[in-house]
Amino acid sequence: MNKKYIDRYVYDVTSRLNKNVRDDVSKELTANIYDMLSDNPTKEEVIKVLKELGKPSLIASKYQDKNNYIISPRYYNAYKVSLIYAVTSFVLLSLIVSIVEGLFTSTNPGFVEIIILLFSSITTAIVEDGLIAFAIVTIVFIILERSNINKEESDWSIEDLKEVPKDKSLGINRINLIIGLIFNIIFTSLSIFVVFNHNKYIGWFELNKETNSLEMVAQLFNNNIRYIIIGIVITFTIDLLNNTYLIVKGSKDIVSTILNTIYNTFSVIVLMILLGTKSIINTDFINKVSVVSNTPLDKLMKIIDYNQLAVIVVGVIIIGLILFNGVKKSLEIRKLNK
Amino acid sequence: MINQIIDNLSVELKRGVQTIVVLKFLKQPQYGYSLLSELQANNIEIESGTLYPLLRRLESQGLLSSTWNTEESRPRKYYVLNETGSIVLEKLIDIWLKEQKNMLEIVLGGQTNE
Repeated sequence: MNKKYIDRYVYDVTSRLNKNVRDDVSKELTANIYDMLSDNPTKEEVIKVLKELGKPSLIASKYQDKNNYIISPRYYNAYKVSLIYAVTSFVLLSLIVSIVEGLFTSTNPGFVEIIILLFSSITTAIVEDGLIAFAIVTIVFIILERSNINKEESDWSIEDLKEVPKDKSLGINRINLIIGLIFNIIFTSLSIFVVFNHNKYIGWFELNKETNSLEMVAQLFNNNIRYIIIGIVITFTIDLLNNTYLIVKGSKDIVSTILNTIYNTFSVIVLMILLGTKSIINTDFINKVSVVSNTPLDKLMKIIDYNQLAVIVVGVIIIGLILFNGVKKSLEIRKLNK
Repeated sequence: MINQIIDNLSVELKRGVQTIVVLKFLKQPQYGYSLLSELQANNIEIESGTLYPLLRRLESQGLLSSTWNTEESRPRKYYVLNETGSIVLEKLIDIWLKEQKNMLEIVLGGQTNE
């Protein structure tokens, strides 16, 4: 079972390298390691050879051509990763704070104001807070570099090496996750805003000839639609948990599959409540439609009832598929881990 | 503390010269470990963790050519000095000889004059 340590070591080294050289370096390094070992190596022998090669982060930095000497190769990878995390989390935090603050403090924001607010929030977040995060991380690393509190290069153990993901498809791309998270935050903030202010934006509008402006005559939803915000927040929290877990863990596993299944199920339930609950639809709106479209009220009500039934049936089928898929994936992962 | 400094400085001192030896030994095709063994047999202290990345770097600089040999029981990547590499090696040896001569005069010259 010593092969496992060699695989983990090679994986640890190559996962720090550019994608286009990973396969080749991995093949070559593995060949070199086996050349350095006897035919049936003991664990001690493997440890000796791996220790001889040195700490994975160090050999990885030697495989990289560039000399990044503001931060030495020894720290460069740690620096890069810390930088990505610090900058994105600072920017995200600042985005959430400024969007929420902006949306709930402006008294009567129009569509244009919202777009302007979004853009200015994003720019401020990236420029100001991104730079602050960049500066903090760089200063910390420069201090680390100059001080002698760092561990010796030889001070690592092969037990520290992380497991190689059994299936490459379980590997994740952290950048994609972070981009996904950013869009999720924007989307969640916007949906909360729209639901909260539904009485201003969603409804039956008519042109007022005196003021020559659109005026809402009947809102589509009753105010109880605001309860859906709880569902949106819970869904968002689950997704946030799942993404944070994935970013820390580095690959998909049973826990992330379960979280993902819960997230999908919850999203569908929230959508079902939104599309299929009769009591959140304003009766004034239905009356208005009935009058304008010349449809009797009871016929409209029937359509709404059918719609409710259809939403429940389709929703239950989708949830069934999601659960089935989740169980299937969990079983596959469990099989791989055996 | 002082040993640490000596270690670090001697690694730096040897690094450039070691490249010359590596290039020289690669006039014959070699794979990573065979080269490492040959270097060690010649009392060249170079760590495996330094040599393997060095080979790739020299290849990406265009001094070495490489091929994967899959005919043996284990696939191995063989490196060999190419034409550019030979020219560079000649030049490096030239520079090193001149530098060494100069250094010997400066470092040891004073001593022998006393």
